[in-house]
Amino acid sequence: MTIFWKKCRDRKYNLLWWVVGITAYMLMMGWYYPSISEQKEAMEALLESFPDTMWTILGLDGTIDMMSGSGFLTVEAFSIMLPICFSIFAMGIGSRSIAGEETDGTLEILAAMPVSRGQIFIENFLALLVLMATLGACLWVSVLIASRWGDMGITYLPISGGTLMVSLLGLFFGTLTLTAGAITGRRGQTIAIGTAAIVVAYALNTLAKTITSLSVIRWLSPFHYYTEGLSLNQNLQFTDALPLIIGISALAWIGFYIFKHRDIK
Amino acid sequence: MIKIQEFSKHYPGSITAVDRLSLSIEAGEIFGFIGPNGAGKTTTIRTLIGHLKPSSGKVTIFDKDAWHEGVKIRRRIGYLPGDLYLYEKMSTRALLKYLDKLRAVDTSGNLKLLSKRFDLDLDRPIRQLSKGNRQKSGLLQALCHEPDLLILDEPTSGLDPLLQQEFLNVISEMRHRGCTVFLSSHMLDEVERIADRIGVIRDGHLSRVGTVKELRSETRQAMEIHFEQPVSLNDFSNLSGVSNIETDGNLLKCINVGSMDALIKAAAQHTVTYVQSESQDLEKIFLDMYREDKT
Repeated sequence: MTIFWKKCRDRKYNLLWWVVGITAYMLMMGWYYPSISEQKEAMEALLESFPDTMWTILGLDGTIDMMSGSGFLTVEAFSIMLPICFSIFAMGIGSRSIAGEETDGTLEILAAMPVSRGQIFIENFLALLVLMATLGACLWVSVLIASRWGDMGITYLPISGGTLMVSLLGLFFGTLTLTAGAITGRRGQTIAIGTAAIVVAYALNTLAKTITSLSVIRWLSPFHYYTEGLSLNQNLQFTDALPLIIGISALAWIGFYIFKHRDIK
Repeated sequence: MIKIQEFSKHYPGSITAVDRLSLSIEAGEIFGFIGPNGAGKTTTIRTLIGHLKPSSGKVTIFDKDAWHEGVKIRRRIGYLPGDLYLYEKMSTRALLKYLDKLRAVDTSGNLKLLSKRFDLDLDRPIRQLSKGNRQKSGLLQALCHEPDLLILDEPTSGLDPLLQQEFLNVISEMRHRGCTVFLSSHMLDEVERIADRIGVIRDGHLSRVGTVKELRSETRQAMEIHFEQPVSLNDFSNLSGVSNIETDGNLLKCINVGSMDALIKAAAQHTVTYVQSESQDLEKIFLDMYREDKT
C-alpha cells in the first residue's frame, strides 16, 4: 500500500482546504436558515412564483418544500454546489493519479519497480476512494452541525444518505478521470474529458426534463441517479445508490484493464 | 540473462522503431548499446523494463517474459531512464525510502556510501538540484539495492569527467560482484572502456555486435607509404582490404581495413623509405558504420 499512502499524503493539504471550504459553507447555511424560516410566508409566495423550468435548472422538481430544513439544504447545497465541488475535487485527484505521473515522467521510475500495473491502478483508485470518503465524512459532520445549529430537523440517516450520494457522484467523476488518465496518459486531456463529462452530464439531466426527445437518454447521466436518489427528509434506499456504484465499478474495471495492457508513453 | 528474439516494435502510423532485433547477453557481462538518436535504443530498453509491449518476437530476462512476468524481473533490476524525471518535492533520501518500500529492501547503508562517492546532498529537494545532481539521484536509485541486472540509458549524461570516472569504477565493482550491465550511450570512449561487447543499432536494426577488439579489427587505417622510386597503381590493385588507392610520384595513399599483410607484402616488392598509418578511433568507426548502413 506504499503508493496508496503516498497519494493520500500528497493530497492532504488539498483535502484540508476543501474540508475548510465546505464546512464553512455548511455552517453558513446553518446560520442563515433561521432568518429564512422567519420570513416563511413571504418566501413561500416568492417560490410559488418560480416557473417549473427554474426548478428544473436547479436539478429539482417543484415538490420540494424549500422552507423546511431539508428542502432548504437540498436547494442551497445538494442540488448544484456540493455535486460540483465534490466532482471537481475528485477530478483533481483522478487527473493527477496515473495521467499526472505519466505526464510528469515519474511513472517511468514507478513502473520500473516490482509492482504491477494493476497494483498501481488499484492503489490510486483506493486513494481516490478514501479521500472522497474523508471529504464525505467531513460533510456529514458539518451538515449535522448546521442542522442542529439552524434547527433544521434533519436526522442522521437522511444526512448519511445525502452525503453518500454526493460522495458517490464525485467518486464517479473521479473514477472517470482516473480511467481517462489510465487510457490516455495525458493530464491535460484527462482534465478536458472530466470537465466535459460533468458539464454534459449535468446539462443532459437538466434538459432531458424539459425536452422530451432527450428524456430517452437521460439514464446516461450520473446526475439523473443522483437527483433521483437524493432526499434529506427520508432514508436512502440502497437501490438508489446502486446505479452509481455499478457505474464506478465499470469505469474502474475499464481503466484497470486498459492500463495493464497498454504501453507507457 | 537477457534473450531478445526477433523483437519488433511498431507504433501507430506504420512507424517501426525496432525491426526483428535478436540479441543475447550473458550473466556478468557489460553490454554497450550504441546508436544515433532515434535508432531504437530507448525503445529496446523500455521493452526490457516492461514499459512497452513487443509487437512481435520474444524478450526474456532471467528466463522470464519481460512483458508478462515484469514484476518478478523488476525485483532484480536497477533502471535509469534516459529522460529522467523524479518526484520534485522529495529529497533523494525520501525518494530512496519510497522506492525501498516498493522494493521491500533497506538500502540506507549503500545510500550513505554511494552518496559520499558521488558527493550528493541527500536532503535537498530534488527540484533544487542541478541536472548533474539529479542524474546522481537517478543513479543512486538504480544502484543502491544491488541489483542483478542494471539497465542504464545514457547514465553519465550531465556528470562531470571526475564523476563519470567514479561511475565507471562503481560499475566495474558491480560487475565483480556478478552484476550484468546493459548500458546505452553515445559516449563511445566510455563504452569502449567498460563494455565487454558492443551492439550497434541503427534505424531499428542491429547492424553489428562484437567485442571492442573485434570491432577494432574493422578499423580503417589511412596509409601513406613513401618509396624510393615512383610506383605503379597496378602493383597495388586487387589487394585484399585495400581501397581508395592513389599514387603521387613516390607516394602511395590508400585505406586499409583489417589485416595489413597483403599491402605490406606488395609494398615490400619496392624500396620503402617511410610508412605512416593513421588509425581511426572507435567513434569514427561507428560513424562509418552508420554511413555504410545508410548507403
